[in-house]
This record gives sequence, structure tokens and C-alpha cells, in this order.
Amino acid sequence: LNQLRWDPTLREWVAYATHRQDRTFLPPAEYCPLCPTKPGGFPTEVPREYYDIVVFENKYPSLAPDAPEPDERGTDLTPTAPGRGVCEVVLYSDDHDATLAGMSERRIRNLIEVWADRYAELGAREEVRYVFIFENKGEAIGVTLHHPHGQIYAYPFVPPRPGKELQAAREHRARSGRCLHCDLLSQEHEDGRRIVAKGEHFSAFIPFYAHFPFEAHVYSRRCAPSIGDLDAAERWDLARVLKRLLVGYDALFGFSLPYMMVMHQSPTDGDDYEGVAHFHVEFYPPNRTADKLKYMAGSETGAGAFVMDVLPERTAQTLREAVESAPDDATAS
Amino acid sequence: LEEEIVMREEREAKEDGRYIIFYTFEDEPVERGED
Repeated sequence: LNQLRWDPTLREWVAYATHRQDRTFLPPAEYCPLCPTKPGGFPTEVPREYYDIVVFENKYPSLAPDAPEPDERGTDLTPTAPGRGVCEVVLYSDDHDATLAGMSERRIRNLIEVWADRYAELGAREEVRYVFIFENKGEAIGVTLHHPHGQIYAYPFVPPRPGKELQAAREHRARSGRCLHCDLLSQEHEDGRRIVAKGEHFSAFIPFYAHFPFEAHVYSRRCAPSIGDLDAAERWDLARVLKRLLVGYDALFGFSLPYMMVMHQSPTDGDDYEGVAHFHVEFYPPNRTADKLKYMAGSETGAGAFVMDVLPERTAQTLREAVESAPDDATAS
Repeated sequence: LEEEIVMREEREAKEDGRYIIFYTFEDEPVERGED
């Protein structure tokens, strides 16, 4: 069952995918369904002995291309709709124990090429209005499989958070004639205290208004609407800056840091987002210390109001030091 | 380092009809242990 139900109080769709209850949950490494299929071994999702980067349709999709009209019709106030869209899994490597942070810049660069390809192909589908590229990493985030992988949800609507951000950017542009994200990046560069890593075309920083202690945003200097609009030099630089940030994350507390990584970019609904959408990557690690997590508790979940107990200037300094202290072979591979 | 990326893709259908795409790169042939 793939069904959308409309919440008129928040004016947003909720996706229901009841078959996902049965999905594989933290299998032992020898039964990882994302590893290559070895001769004589059990058949995994990938019917080859080795692979480089692989994309396939999720076996337990939150949205499906052929989702039927729902039996539950809803009402005028609370309508339903088919949960039509595409959910893909992106396997970063066939090495079960690899992480994005440990991969070479070249492999991350190749992965960016794959992400751009998926953005173009999925975004061209009639029913798809937003291509959302993301990764959930670590059990603290709720991952069910440890093999290095990300996901792509091709939604039949612009999801609420990017939608709210785009609306703010559109209003800022109408008011000032400028891109909101370009202005924010200029402000971060001028201030400097929250910058974590700087490349030629991308910068990583902890935003002035971070919602998580070590939340980092990676912005392109140029106002490129989507990952597909980045040129070759920008893609290389994005790989470099992502690598430096991720190595810094792992150096923070001495373990592979859990995080959510998401990409915000132009919707694919046919509207004009030039000067409004500005491609960027956002990371939300849940850790506030090595052994304490920032929870989505009453104020954050019920009121939508985040309360933070540490300032971004402080965490940015800590993260910047972690990035700068990383060994050369970790950042320059 | 910044040479052009040459990406190839090969599509197959899984037994249950789902697609799977194998991406390979000219600059980085499939080998184990390179990372």
C-alpha cells in the first residue's frame, strides 16, 4: 500500500507505506542484502561479484511508480492520493565496511556524477516534482542496514521543508532582488567564525541559526539551482569539501559520526526557480557530545521550536579544529 | 586530478521487475581495496 493523506492543519502530505514494516532490520554482515552476490552465497540485491556504484529501486518503497488510487477516499477536508513516485537505493561501494568519509575524493566525485544523473532522469518523470537525495547514517539515526548507501525519494509534491525554504527565498528575491542563499553565504564568509571548510567553489559552515549542535551546510558559491547544474570543476570541489567535512566529523569524537545528509535544490515541477533555488547539502548529526544525543523532544516536535544549549560559533570552532587536525592522507586522497 | 569523468551505465531488470543500474567509471575500474 502506497497512499498519501492530506493533513489540513499543517497543509502537508503524509505518506503511508505499510509493507515497510517487513523490511530487513540490521542483519548480520554475512547476510547484508546490499553486498555483492558471491559464488555459492545467498543472492543479495546485487547479482554481481563486484560493483562500483549501483542504483536500484527500493524493495520497500515509501512511494511507488504504479501506486493505485487508494481504496480510502478521504473527504474534501482530508483527501487521499496515490503514493506515486520513485524510491531508489544508491550503493556507494561494494565494501561493506566503507563509509563516505573514508572514500577517496575521486569516488565521491563519481558519486556526485551518479546523483546528478538520477536528478535528471527522475526529475524528468511526469509525476515527479522534487528529487530528494539523502543519506541516513548510523543506528542513532535509525538505519536498518550498515552497508554504505544513500537513498533518493522522487516525490509527487514539493516536500514541506524545501518548500518553506523556497518560499522564503522567493520572497527575499522579490524584496531585495538577490538570492537568499548567496546572501547567507556572503554573510558567513564576512563573519568567518562559523566557516568549517572552504574550497574554491564550495564552503562548509555551521549556520548562524543551526538546529543541531554540529549541523553543517555546504553551499555552492555560484547560484546553481541543482546538482545537475554544477560544472566539472564545481563537482570536483564539492567532492573535496564533502570529504574534508566528513573526515572532520569522524575526528570530532573519535568514532564514525552518525548523521542525516540531505540535498536541497530546484524542484522539477516545471516552475522557474532561477535565482531562488540554490543547490546545497545539509548535515544533521544527532550528537551533541560523544555520548549524548540531541533529541527531537516536546518543543522541537510538538511546537516546531528548536532549543539549543550550545552556540554555533563554539561548535564551528570545534569542528573546524577537527577538520584541520585530520591527517593529510585522510583529506588529500 | 580534475580529469573528465567518463561514466557508463548498464541497466538490468531484477526478477521482480525492479530496475538496477550498474555505474562504472573509466578512471576507476572495479577493484577491491582501493579506498
